[in-house]
Amino acid sequence: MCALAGVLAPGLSSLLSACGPAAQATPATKGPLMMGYDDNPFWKDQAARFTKATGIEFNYETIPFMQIHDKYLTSFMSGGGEYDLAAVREDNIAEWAPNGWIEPLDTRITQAMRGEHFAAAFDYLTLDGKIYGVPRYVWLWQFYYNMDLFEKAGLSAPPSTWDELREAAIKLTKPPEYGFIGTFGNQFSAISVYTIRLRAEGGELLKDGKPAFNNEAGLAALQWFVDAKADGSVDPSSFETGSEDTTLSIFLQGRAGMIFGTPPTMALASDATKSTIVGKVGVALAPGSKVPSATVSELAGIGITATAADKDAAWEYAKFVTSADEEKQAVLSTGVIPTQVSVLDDAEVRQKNPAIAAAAEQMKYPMGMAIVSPKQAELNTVIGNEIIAALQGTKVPEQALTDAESAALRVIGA
Amino acid sequence: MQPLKAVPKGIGAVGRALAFLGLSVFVLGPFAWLVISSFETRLQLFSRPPILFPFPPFLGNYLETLSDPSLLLSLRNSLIVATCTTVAALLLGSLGAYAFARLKVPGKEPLFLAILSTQMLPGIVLLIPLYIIMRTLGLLYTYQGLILASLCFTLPYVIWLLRAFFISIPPDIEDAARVDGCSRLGAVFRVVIPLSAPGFVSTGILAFIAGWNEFLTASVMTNNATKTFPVRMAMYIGEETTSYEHMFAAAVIGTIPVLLLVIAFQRYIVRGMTEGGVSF
Repeated sequence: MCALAGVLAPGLSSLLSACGPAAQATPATKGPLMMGYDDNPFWKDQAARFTKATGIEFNYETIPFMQIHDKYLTSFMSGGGEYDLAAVREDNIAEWAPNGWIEPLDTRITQAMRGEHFAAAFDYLTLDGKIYGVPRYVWLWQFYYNMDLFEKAGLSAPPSTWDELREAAIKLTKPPEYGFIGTFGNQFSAISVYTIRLRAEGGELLKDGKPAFNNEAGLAALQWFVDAKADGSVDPSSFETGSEDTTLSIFLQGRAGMIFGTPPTMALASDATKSTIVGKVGVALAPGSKVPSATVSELAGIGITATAADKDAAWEYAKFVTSADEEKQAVLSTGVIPTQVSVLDDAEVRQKNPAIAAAAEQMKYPMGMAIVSPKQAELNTVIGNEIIAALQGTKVPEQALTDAESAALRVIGA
Repeated sequence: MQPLKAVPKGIGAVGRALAFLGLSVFVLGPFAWLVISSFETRLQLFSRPPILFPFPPFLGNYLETLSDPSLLLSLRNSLIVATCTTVAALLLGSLGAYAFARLKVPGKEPLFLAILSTQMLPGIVLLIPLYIIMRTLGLLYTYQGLILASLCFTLPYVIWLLRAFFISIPPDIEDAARVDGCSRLGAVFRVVIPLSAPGFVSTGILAFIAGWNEFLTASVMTNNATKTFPVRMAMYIGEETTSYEHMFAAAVIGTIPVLLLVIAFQRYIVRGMTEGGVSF
């Protein structure tokens, strides 16, 4: 059987891929609801609270964060039925919705629900006019700086433009301390930071699913990093490591002045076992250029799978975990950025994490994932490789962007 | 051509010692770094310059890791899956290997190559067919399903390795046993397998290590109750951050069973490596 599976596997796999909506399988029989996500205890406890509040049984399966997508994809491509709910982001929706693996929720989402979240929240979970998820939190990249190093360098305020950021970085650089640090050793992080810069120029990586970066804005953005590297104000580790943990740790040890960080940054900076700069970290709007400010983010929502046996019960869960009360608890426990206006404005939340106030302001400007496409993984690789090549100096920025565009067009088959 | 001058004895010994030292550092260096890192706090882990000898060693990573029930459960699960996979692979593999080594069956060689060729396939292409098969059989998220899936990857090379050991045993010994009244199967179990003991041990250890480290199928075919150690290890890479300090401690803990196994059977492994050879 195994040898046979080995022989047949490539064909079957291709067949399944080609079949697309493999969710023709019969829905699972009604039983406890099931969803998989990471092993943060808060989400597990939340599932238990849901059962206690509603009486609906719930199996919360812990999945390594990096395997969540693949595990769901394997289930979907095999006909689905294991999961009733799915954590969905923009890229998941772009991949799963066209295959019919997740349900549109438009008929369930009320106007009142829409009004509870920040203005564009549902837009990120919408594809072709249909909403596929209820916002749960935002994974927002924000601009963090070391106030202590700023004071020592005679800088009175964080930079509001990328030109100011570069000037500040030069003033802050006194090796082994550097003005700026990023993670340019892996494609995803390199693309994220590049996109923040690109959006400040009013550009986007993709428009209507096609590459849109090989232009003046794209070049200005990439050239900025090449120039900053040349003037020595960017920590050299930025170009050597692909680990965001490593670059963040360098920042947390007071050896870098500025960084674009994800939601846990402030909590880690405030933990004396992980940081030597407790109380010295400031957070501000990401610098702008033609646009006042811009960043990247991931909108984490809750969706219902097409094979969910009891969609009404699944909807009850989606409503429960995205309620203001649960979102507030999630923010306080896990440090994620809320989507509900009342939670963003909540005094207790803002006191616990000073980055929330800045986040509320940041979310008024361009954000969202750099690449939203069913071919996200491939595009990430081919575009990211070219950006890294430019930053490593193996290609001039113009050539890197041209090559990235050609490769991206090949990936999307245009 | 000038004849090579003999290297003075002392220089040769020093050269060998240096080569041995270099090789040891190359092989053991990463593991030593892992062990050292597991005794460091997160701040120490990322300090520059790196701390080579943390003193006093920080035991908190081990205490926290060992007090995590899900990690202990995953170790137990891996032990069950790897042990059962090894036993099943040796049992089935020895019969298959014997057939390929001794029996005259039409199409034997192409069939052997076909089985071997399954090893050439990237594991990922087997994932969805295996998932569907396990779901259809009701074996998804069970030990049995995991063991079967693991066998798919282990059995071909167990057959390949054992076949080479069986071929190296002179058929006359087996014939003598059969003349003395043994059936073919009796000769296999009473003569061939005992004579191949070193090969069985080394092959078994390789099968165990493969089962212990198997990640791909386990990452999609396990749930909270059956999660194996490699999958649990992957959970240290979170959305928020990667918990390197716990990951390193867990990695050291997870190495111990395999290390003990290798130490216990070291004598057989060396014999197995040298006696069996690999022939087609």
